[in-house]
This record gives sequence, structure tokens and C-alpha cells, in this order.
Amino acid sequence: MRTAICNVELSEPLSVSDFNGCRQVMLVFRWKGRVIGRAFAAVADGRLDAADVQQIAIEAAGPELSRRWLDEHVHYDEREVTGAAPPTATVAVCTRERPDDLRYTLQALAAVAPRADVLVIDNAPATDSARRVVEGFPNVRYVREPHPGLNAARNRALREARGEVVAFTDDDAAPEEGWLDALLANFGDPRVLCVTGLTLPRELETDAQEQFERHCPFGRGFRRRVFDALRDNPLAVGPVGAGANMALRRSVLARVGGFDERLDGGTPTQSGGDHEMFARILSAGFRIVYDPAAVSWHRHRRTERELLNTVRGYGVGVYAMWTGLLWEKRELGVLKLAWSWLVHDQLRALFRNPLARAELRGCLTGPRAWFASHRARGARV
Amino acid sequence: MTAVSVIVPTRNRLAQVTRLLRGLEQREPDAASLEVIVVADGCTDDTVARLRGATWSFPLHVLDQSPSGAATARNCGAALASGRILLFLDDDVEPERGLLRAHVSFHRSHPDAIAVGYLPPILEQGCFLGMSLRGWWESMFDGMRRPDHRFWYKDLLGGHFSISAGDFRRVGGFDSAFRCHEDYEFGYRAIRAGLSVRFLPDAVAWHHETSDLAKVFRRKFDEGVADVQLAQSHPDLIPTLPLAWRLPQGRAARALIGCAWGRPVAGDWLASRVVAMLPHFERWRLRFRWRARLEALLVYWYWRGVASTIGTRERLSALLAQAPGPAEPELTVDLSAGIRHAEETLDRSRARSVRLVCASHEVGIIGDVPGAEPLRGAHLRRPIAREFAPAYLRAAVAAGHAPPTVAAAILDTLPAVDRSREAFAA
Repeated sequence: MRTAICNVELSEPLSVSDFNGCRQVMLVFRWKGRVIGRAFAAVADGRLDAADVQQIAIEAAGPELSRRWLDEHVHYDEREVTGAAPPTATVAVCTRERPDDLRYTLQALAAVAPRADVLVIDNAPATDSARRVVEGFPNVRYVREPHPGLNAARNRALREARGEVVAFTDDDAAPEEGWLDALLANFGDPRVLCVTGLTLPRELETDAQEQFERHCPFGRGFRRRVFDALRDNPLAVGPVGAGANMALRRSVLARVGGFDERLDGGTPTQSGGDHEMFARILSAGFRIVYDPAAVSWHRHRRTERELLNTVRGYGVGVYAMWTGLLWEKRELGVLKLAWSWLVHDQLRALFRNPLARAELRGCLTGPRAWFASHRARGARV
Repeated sequence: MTAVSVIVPTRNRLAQVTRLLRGLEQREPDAASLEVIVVADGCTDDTVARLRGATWSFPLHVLDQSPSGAATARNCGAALASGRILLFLDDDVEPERGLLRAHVSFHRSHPDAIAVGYLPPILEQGCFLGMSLRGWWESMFDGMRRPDHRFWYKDLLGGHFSISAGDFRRVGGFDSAFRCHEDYEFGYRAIRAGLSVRFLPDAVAWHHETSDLAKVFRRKFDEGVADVQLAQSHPDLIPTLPLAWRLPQGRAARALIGCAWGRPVAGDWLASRVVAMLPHFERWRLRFRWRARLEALLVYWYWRGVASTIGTRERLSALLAQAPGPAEPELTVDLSAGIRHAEETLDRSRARSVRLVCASHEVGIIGDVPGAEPLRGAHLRRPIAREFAPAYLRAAVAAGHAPPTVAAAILDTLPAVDRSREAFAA
């Protein structure tokens, strides 16, 4: 194992930890179960003593620890609203030919949300492997979506769900205890159409997984944030979160429309479907909340090749999404965003980081991918 | 006896008021204990004849009066009402099922309170003005939805609220001198009379918002006029009115405000040029540029209203000078005995302002807010957890309330917290 992952509960006495065989550890700091920060620490002689862990915790999560303790001490919850019962929910897992990952995810869901309505959308499957996995979970519904594409599967989930809210998790992620409740607690504000959560790596056992977590982590920090187009740029949706851990009101279909099926996995654009939905929600004047209390653990791609393809796909997806926004919605602001990203971020990393090169290559093909997907979708419709 | 009298002022909006009345018929099973009073305020269409000629499942009274404004119309409706509860609705709302039940059950358990209902706007999707209006409307309810909200006179929305008929008479009804913000003025007197205001999220009336830019600017002008009236009638409200604020403005807004005072013709022409730019920004979805121009225009029309009413800057300065100065806190509460104890103390005293200390450390002052309800215990949590967090954390460490790891974190991060107080409070 290259990097161990260790949860540290700061409300209890810290102890010496053994990490034999690891060169570093990812410490995930918690206060009464709630994740408040994380840090990477080099491991010498396979051990970290309590004083070191406390010092690292204070450096990495000091302000958040103070804030969490204070909120709890004065009984303050920034999500609290008067007279709002949490909405009903359906958990949706969109999958395609990954039976082992799907089994792991369903086992995790059975443990953390045993009474939840769970729906598996099998997207244009070539085999019946997912159906066989679902048969082992009597409370899980199986739906086959014949049209290929992650966004087609997400739309099917929105149509098939019974709950007012649909919580999406990837088929290679494992939500932890309290995940669903934490997502639902943010829907007290009727303007909130979407809530995203904190996604952390389930394992960091290969160089590719470490690089992914360094270059493009799913997590967006440890402080709750409300996104609103009156304050935030609705096109710059990177900080909002990711589709691997998000919940949407089902009424999103009527309010802003479903997911754009020209985008994301299973189409030439490879990704960007979740971010396009975020941009549309914000542009229509609704809100999105990022709440790190909703934690899910994601298994990143294990090989170098998978990693490069994934990162390149992110580049394709972002530029494909922006192309669509510019072409169809005349969102001139995407030009400024693309320029700013290129100059301030991508060019600096270009000569140091092969992932940045893969991402930029993807960006350059994004517009063509969007038009190809647009034509293919037009032909299908 | 009739339980609820619904009072609806209207002017030449037959389709809207019919939609509201049919909505009440269809969605309110308790219609037997309901009466509706529509006050036609200077209608020149056939609203009166059509409403009187139709059949309704509830008693409907239609009053016809010369144009006198919504305040007078509501007072006339209230004078005719026989219900124990008066429910005021605007004519462009559409009731959701359960609206009446929510108001009636609220007044059963809160005899001395005003219930403000929820007015979610229905707007054209995608247009920038619609998005801004949605933000404006919903931001009013954002605060009210929280249990720690301190209600004040601006929370009273004339388009959807209920009050017992006795309390309405005791407060004295609406001041008919106001053509805008008559609801705020009523809210001020109601709170001063000891009534509390509460928000009913379950009482939903969809608001069909059809404002265009011209209506929005006219409304801003009226708000400027009304704020001068509010300042003249109730000088203690002056600090809460935008005309008393010295907000930093952009170049365009400063130029427009200058014109509002001395050269309204030039100002109107300049404003029309800025308005002409808005469609171009919207066409290319340049929302931040669009919004900056709109803000400048709203500021201009507000100040046009102020200037047209009061005349000169000197008169405004003389008016602002009547604002009361800051007062010492009425009460000191020590937090070292625990938050619950402090909340109970505040619930008992209902002071208007409080100094918070923890042992010998000052934590902060929650000041008096003109036109706001007296403080409740629930008002303590947010200021301590956010605005006063650095001071309270320091005091908590000194008093030994924080566990060792937390205390170490607080001591390590406090200097940074002090430097970025706003970031911590955000």
C-alpha cells in the first residue's frame, strides 16, 4: 500500500498509529463523526505519534474544528429552517458493466440507508451482470435504460424515482453513514434544486490514484457553501461539486429540464453532464448547496492509462459544455472563463504535469466532440 | 360567525382576481367559513359587473371605490369584513391548497400575532430580470424561514398576511397617505403595539410576477417617496432606510444620483441610454454587467423619488438629523452559565438590545434595531456562532469551556480569525 487512509476522531483522545508498509498517510479529521479536514503526512518508521497528529490536525483543520465545536456548543445549525420536513428520497446508481463495483456500492447503501428507495439504472448493458448483482438485494429496483449515455441514465432515474429528491451516487463510490440525511437536510430552502457532497478517495494504492487525488480531487473543501447566481458566476461550476455525489429535486425536470443527453459518459463528450446541469440550475435563479457533511468514498481509476483517459475526458467535457453554452445560449462569458483557466492554471502546469497535458488535449477536442454529439443526438431524436 | 375574511384590492385585473377567487373555491374545502371582499380601486374595466354577475361558492362582496390606493382599499375591505381573521391577498396571487387552514390554525395558537405567508414568484424562465426578481422575493423569505430570524417591520408583506380583526382595528389600519410601503408602515405600528410577526411557510400563494423594467423603475420611484414619508412619520426608522445610508456607488450611479437632485430631465435621458444597453448585455448573457447597470438604474429611480418628495439635499440632511443616536444596551447577559440560561434570560426580559459577556470578557453587543421585535433567546445563537465567534472562542478558552484539542486549535487560529473576521462569519 502506498498511502494509507486513516480517520482521526478529534473529540476522543489521540493515540499512536501504526502504518507499516506505507510511505505516507491521508489523515481524515473528524469532530463527532463529521469530516472537518484532511492532510497528507509522511510516515517515518511506520508510525505517527499523537502529538504529531494533533499538530497536523490543527494546521489542516484548525479553523473548521473551532467552528464545528462552536456551532455544537451554542446549538447553531446554519441549515435549520422553520417547519420544513425533509423531503422523501430515492437513491439512484447509474451503472454499466461494472458488477463488482456495483455490488460494493449496493452493500454500502444497504448498510447506511437500509430503508431508502434504491434504484439501479443499467445503461445500455451488453450483459446481464448488473441485473444479477441487483437480484441479490431484494429492496433495490432494477431499470434498464437502452439509450447509451450517463445523462440518459440520470434522466431515466429522475423519471422512475418515487421520492421528491433523487440522490445520485456513482457505481464505484460508497456513501457513509448519514450521507443521505445530510443531503436532504439542505432542501428546506425551496430555491435549492441541487445539493452536492464531499467525495473522498476510498483507496490510494497506486500511483495513478494518488495523482488523480492530487490533480483533480472530487472534494470541494470542508465548509458548507451556497451557490447562487446573484453572487457566483453560474458558468464557473467547478467548485460546486461532482455528479458522483449529488442530489436533485425531481421537480428540476419541470423547472429547468432534464440532463443534456449530448453530454457525459457514453457520448463523444465523455463528461460535463453534471456541470452543465449545475450551470443551468444557477442560471435559472435557483441555488445549489455544497455540504461536506454528506460524505462518499470513491474508488479512483487504478492504472495510468485509465487515469490519463479520465483526465482527458474531463477536458473534453468542460470544453464541450462551454461550446454548447456558447453556441446555443450565447453565453459569451465562457470565452473569458476558458482564457482565464488557460492562462492562470493550465499553461503553468503544462510542462510539469502530464495530466495537465492530457487535460488540455481533451479541451482542444471538446468543441468538435460537442458538435459530433449534437449531430448524433439529432439523428437519434 | 365567519372565520376568515379574505380582502383583495384590485384595479383593472379581472383575469388575475378571477384566477385567485376560483383558486380559493377549488383548493379550500373550508370555504363555508369564508367570505371574500374584493375592493375595486378605481376599476375602469368590467371587473365589478363580472364579479357580481358570477356565482361563487362563498359570499363575495365587491366594493367599488374611486382610485384611492391599496391602503384605503384594504381599510374599506376590513371595515366591511365580518370574519374573526382578516387575510389580505394581492390580486395576482394563486392560493395553494391548505393556505386558509394554515392561517386559521396559526391564529388559534397565536392570538396576538400577525402571520406572513409565503409568496413564491412564478416568473419567465431564463430572462435576467426574472432571475433578479426571484432573488429579490426569495431573499425576503430566506431570513424569515430561519428560527433565529428577528422579525421587523419590513417583513410585513401586504400581498399575503393575516391578522385578527380586533388587532387590525387596535393598530388603526393602514395609513392611507402611503401609496407604497403602506404595509411596512402598518408593520411598524403593529410591532410597536406589541404584536409579534411570524412566517407561515405552509401558507403558500403563488405570485404571478409580471413586472417589466418600466414597472420596476416606477416601483423604485414610489419607494423613494414612501421612505421620505416613513422618515417623516417615524424618525426612529431613519437608520433602516436606504436614504440614510452612504453606500459606495459606481461612477454611473453617482452621476445618475447627481442628476436626480438637480437635473431630472438630464437624468431621465441618461437613464434611458443605460436602459437601452441592457438588451445587448442580455443577448450575450453578460449577467454581471447587466446587473451592475440595473443596480445603477434602481438607485437612480429611488433617489428620483426621494428628491421629488423632499426637494433639496439640505432638507434631506435636516430630516436625517432627526434620527435618534445609538443607545446603551438595555441588558447584560453572562454566557458563562450556558447558552440555554442566556436564552431563557432573554426570553423573560424581551430586551431590545443586549451586551453579551462571558465571565470578564466582552463578547459583543446585539443592538436595538428600529422597527424590529424585542429580542428572543433564539436570536442569540447566530451572532455568537458567527459575528462574535472570535471573541466568544477566546472567552471560552479562558473560561476552560473548550476541550484541550479544540482549545489548542482556537489559540492557533485566532490571530488568523481576527484578520479575516468576515471570512469566518461568512
